[in-house]
Amino acid sequence: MSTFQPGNENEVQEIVRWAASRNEALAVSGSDSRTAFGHAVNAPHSLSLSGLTGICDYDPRELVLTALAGTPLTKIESALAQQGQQLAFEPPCPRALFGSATPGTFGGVFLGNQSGPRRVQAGAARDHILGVRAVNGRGELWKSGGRVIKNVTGYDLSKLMAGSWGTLSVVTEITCKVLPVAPESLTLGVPAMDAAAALAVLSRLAGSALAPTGLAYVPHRVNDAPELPTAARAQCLIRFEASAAGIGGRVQALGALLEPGVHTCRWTGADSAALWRAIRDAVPVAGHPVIIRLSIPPALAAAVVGEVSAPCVRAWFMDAAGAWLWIGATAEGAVDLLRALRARVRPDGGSVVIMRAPEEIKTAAGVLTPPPPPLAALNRRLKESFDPLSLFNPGRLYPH
Amino acid sequence: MLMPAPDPDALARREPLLCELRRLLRPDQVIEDRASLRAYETDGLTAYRQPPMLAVLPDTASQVGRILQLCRRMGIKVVPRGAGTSLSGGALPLADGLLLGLGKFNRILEVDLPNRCVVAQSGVTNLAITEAVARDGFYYAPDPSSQIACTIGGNVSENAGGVHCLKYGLTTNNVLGIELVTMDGEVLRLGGKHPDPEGYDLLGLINGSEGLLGVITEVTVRILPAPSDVRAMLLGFPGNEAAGECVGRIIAAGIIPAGVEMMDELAIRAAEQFSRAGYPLECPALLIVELDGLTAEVDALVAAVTAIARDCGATAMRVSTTAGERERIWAGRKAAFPAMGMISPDYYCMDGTIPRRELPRVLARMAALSAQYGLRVANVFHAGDGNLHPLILFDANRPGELERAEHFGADILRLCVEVGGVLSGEHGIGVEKRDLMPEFFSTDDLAQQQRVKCAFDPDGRLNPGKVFPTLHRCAELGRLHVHHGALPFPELPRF
Repeated sequence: MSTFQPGNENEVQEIVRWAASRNEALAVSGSDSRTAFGHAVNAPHSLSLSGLTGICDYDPRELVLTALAGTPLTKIESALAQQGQQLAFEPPCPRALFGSATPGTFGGVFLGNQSGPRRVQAGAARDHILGVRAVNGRGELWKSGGRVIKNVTGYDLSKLMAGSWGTLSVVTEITCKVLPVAPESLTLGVPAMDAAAALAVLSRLAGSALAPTGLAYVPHRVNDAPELPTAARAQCLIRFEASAAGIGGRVQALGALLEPGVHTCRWTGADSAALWRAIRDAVPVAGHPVIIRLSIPPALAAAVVGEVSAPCVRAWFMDAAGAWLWIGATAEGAVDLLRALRARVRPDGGSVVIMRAPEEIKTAAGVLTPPPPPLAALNRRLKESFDPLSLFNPGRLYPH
Repeated sequence: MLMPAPDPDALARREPLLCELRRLLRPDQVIEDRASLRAYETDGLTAYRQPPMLAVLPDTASQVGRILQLCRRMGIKVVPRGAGTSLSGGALPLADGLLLGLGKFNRILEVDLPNRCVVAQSGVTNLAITEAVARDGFYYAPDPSSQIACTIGGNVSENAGGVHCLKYGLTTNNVLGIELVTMDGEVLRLGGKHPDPEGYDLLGLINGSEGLLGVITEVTVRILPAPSDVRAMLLGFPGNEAAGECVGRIIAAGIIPAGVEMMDELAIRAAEQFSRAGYPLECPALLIVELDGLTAEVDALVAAVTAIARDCGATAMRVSTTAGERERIWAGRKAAFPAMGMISPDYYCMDGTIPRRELPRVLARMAALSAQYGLRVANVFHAGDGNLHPLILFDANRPGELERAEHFGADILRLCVEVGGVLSGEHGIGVEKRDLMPEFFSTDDLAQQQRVKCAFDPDGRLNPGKVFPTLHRCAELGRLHVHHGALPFPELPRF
């Protein structure tokens, strides 16, 4: 039982070669802020990337940043903020969901494909990853992608790392696209009594030229949290981020799109920011023993909500114009709920992921929906192509 | 560029293969006569020609599956082809291979406005998708310049870009779902109409995989609401450096234009002669900056860019006030490739990406190379995302000029890599840049990519001879050399 904290990629290679020579698995992590995600990893040793820190290259005019995987996210975000830039996909903080004291690492955000409400406009973490350096299960260092935005030079293995939760290779360095922060931000609330009414408003906005950067719906019954005042409940929350002229134009156009003056609440500055942080971090459902996130065709959202009236569901909310549905539930009944949700989304396609749950529920239902056999076989071959001995986080995504 | 030597055993199996294919397909779906096969002998990289052994035109995914299964069983290579517009030879046939044409996959299956997506068969053209949703106020964002002809399946295979990538992303950022047929004959559905599919990002892997991992039969793309106002600015500068500086300052000011294109002197002159777009011929460098959004914000953006351009020494400036004026500004740029035909018998279109800040250095070195090779080069540049398209002018009828142009092109791509860029921005590696891959990738980098290929196609039957300079057997790549060692780095902190 050893714990490794390599300080450079050559040391990572040595550790992996050593583990390969003994055929003993490694639990690979950054700062352990999201370790609760996935099935329990059964590995005798652990490899922490928290020693690989630092920004390697950042030229704001190139809109590209390269940093070592273990760099604390806060460090990246403050370097970007100094230049008026940001990670546009709005990575969530794992505090509410995973009870972590730290906001995690740069690498962890990409390896978990962690995105927030601006996903609706800016895409997911995986859309911003441009290149990686990584060590495979043979102890070989490989790279993919580059430090430029447009690139078709070899397979895009960087994207494959996004959402792989450290099961394919030990990613040591990541290059991503960064974007400017808009000068102004405004959030408007449009009341909606139920999911169907909310979806109608959110869909109209998503299909409009107003380019909203947040489209969420928080029902009346959610967690009590200071960031979620009563005024923000039973409301469609619409965020605009643009220049002052752009915000003014949007507010005016919204009147034409919905009924004039239909928005009853508005949040600006720190209030608006706090509200979206809460949405981003899943605060409305956090704290319940079982947290599930659905990614579905957005038009399906109201129908799915209608069918999740199971007694174990304690709270839910919509983000990404309905494409994301977050559910907080009790442990009792959660396995049946997961089965029902997966059966419900199967015909139209969609994903139903356990974000957090007691181990026995994860084991009974699977953190991810079990893929059809040909896809499962392909996933297995893909895993073997990187990690033939299954050294890295074995079983975390798909139990053996 | 050498293709793998035809396998005499595969050539000898032509008749039995034909027999089997006729069993699987209708007579009009199997092409075997020499004259008809000639139609497939090349793609957009016309310097290379090779008719396939046979060609098939399936029209269902299950037919594709049966064809691939058959080819795997019989040991026959397969080259998939969309519209054949690849500029890197990605669809170049093999003498001992089957060409699998996707031209019959030409239907838009569903326009789903509530979910803001379109489901199309892979042979549908890029532009047809936008045309299907335009009257509802939507469009499909990636717009490669071949968009009237290129197919969405080909766009996925090459991760096609266009002029709006900086703001709206590449193909890979706009694809929600793919139906992929593997060499096992399995029909896989990856993604769908929802974001963030579970598990490994196979969609991300298939985008830009150049037809080496599977055959794409269906694609679901997200569509975007058309912006309410779009304006193009034409900005003339006294030199490339000033134009490059202007782009840098626009971005530093927090503005992400919908498109930023740059043209150098030779490109400007050729484009103007061809299209009469009204480009200022006295300017050695030109920028087209497109800004979109709500009218009020576009007004503000135009004012901001105008001020930046003035500061950077812009000597000519024009802003479109109508859709017609905007189209006219774009007309020259969009016709830049055909315009080369007016000033040179042949041209060779290159494609590489560099960090934008390296542009002045790269253009200066390119001018030196141009003198060295005795060939002119015109430059159009997707300045927002650093994607260069040098157009090397030559005359194929003069002995040795094509080879000289190819060597010049290879040197330009080496230069891109040297300054921190990559070998291809949007055209792909194909056969064209295959042998340059080791300039960018180490042996281990390439081995990892080829192992991924093995996970999909263990016999290496799908589009071999493209992308990878050397073909390795999967068994050889899969061998594991385990180092026997003691615990490394005893000095490492352990806790």
